[in-house]
Amino acid sequence: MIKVFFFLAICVALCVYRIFRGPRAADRMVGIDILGIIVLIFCVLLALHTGFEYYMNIAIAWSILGFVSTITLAKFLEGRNLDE
Amino acid sequence: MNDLIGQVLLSVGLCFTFLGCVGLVRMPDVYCRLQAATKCVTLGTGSILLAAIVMTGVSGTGVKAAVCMVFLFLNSPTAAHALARAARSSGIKVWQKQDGAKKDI
Amino acid sequence: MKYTIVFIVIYLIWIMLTWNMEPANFFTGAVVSLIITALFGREFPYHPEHTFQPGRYFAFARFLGVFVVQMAKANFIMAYRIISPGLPINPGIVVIPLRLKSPLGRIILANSITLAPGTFTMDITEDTLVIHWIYVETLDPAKAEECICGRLQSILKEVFE
Repeated sequence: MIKVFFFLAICVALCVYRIFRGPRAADRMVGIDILGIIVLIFCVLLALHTGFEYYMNIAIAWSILGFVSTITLAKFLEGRNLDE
Repeated sequence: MNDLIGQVLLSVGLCFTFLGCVGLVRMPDVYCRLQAATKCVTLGTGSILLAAIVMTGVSGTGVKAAVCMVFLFLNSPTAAHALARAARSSGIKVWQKQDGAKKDI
Repeated sequence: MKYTIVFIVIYLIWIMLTWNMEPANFFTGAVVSLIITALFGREFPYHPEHTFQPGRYFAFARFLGVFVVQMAKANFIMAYRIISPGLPINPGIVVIPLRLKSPLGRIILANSITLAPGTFTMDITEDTLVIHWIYVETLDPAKAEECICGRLQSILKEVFE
């Protein structure tokens, strides 16, 4: 199981690279969106590994909150012409 | 048996998630990045949730994983659609292969 | 009638979210579902009479089958595009006609196009879909619709209209 978490850490590193490097605001937002889904995968794997059920509640709440935050940021970007 | 199927689904899901993150770094413009990342990461997460359903059966974890899967398949494309629309209306052009020329939408 | 459907759906979602077999939990779920139904039940199902027509459920199951096959194919194609060193992509934007009228059907069609091979919904107007295609084969709207939607749009028309 520890190897699986190492594997996911590589994914997080790739997303963080895109968040820091992305030339425009939209690229950074794509990175943040994907990072949220990777956190959801962490929660599901923790629920499977430890056998505690309430990690799944965190996963469901996290998926809904991540969706709302992405929609809000997208609306903000749509409203005005943010360059960088 | 269920455990074995679960492990296979888990590995497939992790591989697709990793490929999605590689695509996030490699692709040249925001729409291609969005496309690669959304497709691969959504199927990868769905596969991992399916592994959770198969491994735990009808229990708290399994049923909540099913609910989470429905939410994910509704939410993830919608969020990507909102991001693409925002990027388009904020004036980002589509990347073209031929000598790097930009094309008007 | 309308309110009963909304109440049953919300109560089922409550039971699945809190998988807990105590009587107190069922009672709390009933109270919460009643409150939500009283607040929002007026608007949700646009066609309540569609709920009891089994043909629509079979059509939706057929749609799910086509969709799952397309999604698996899409992921392998996308994995090939990501791994191969030369980046075999040729992105562009095409506009295809949209004939569905029901809002839920339009949402499901747009989401399934996003997860289908190589295509990505960018914008929806009254009767067109603006689509980003990662490897453009044709710019003609009719041929592009045949390539992208295939049978999805006709099956969804059967389900929701």
